[in-house]
Amino acid sequence: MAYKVISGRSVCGKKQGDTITLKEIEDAGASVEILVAGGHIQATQTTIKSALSEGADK
Amino acid sequence: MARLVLTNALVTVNGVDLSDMVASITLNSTVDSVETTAFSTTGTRTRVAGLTDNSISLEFHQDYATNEVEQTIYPLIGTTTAVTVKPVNAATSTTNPLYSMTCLVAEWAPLNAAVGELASASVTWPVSGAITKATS
Repeated sequence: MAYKVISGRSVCGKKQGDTITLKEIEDAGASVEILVAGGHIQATQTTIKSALSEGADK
Repeated sequence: MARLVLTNALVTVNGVDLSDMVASITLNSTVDSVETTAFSTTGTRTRVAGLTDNSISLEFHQDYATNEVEQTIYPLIGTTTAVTVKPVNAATSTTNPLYSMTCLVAEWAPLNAAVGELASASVTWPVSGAITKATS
């Protein structure tokens, strides 16, 4: 799981726009839920394309 | 070793760098003195070290804007969170150690100032466990 830093403040040593992993946040002893609620980070969007839809495209 | 005037210390709470909103830092560490005095010819009290009690006192400037002090700390009230402090916001070294700890956010003052004063919050948070000192 990865998150994007959207805060104007440094989060676990990462700047705005940087990507931070769940492990990096946990290693820093920080709470993901509270960082998300506080608008400091947001989950990165992941697109899952199924094999079925890939086949249908061809 | 040169004396140090704090001008650019690092303070993070829950991983968020709030250094530019903190005006004062005091890291406290006290050890209980457990008396072991018994009958002896010395006529003096003897003691050994007991439990260590750590805490950190911080003075925050209040700010209610997005990503700022209130929004960062208010949700942490009553929880434990990671706090780090360093004398200078630069690379960690033997002359610039990083102190890391888990604090219980036992108090917070969302609104605190008299007329004409800067809104601020002075807190003392007890540390749960030991303080880790890193030098690299």
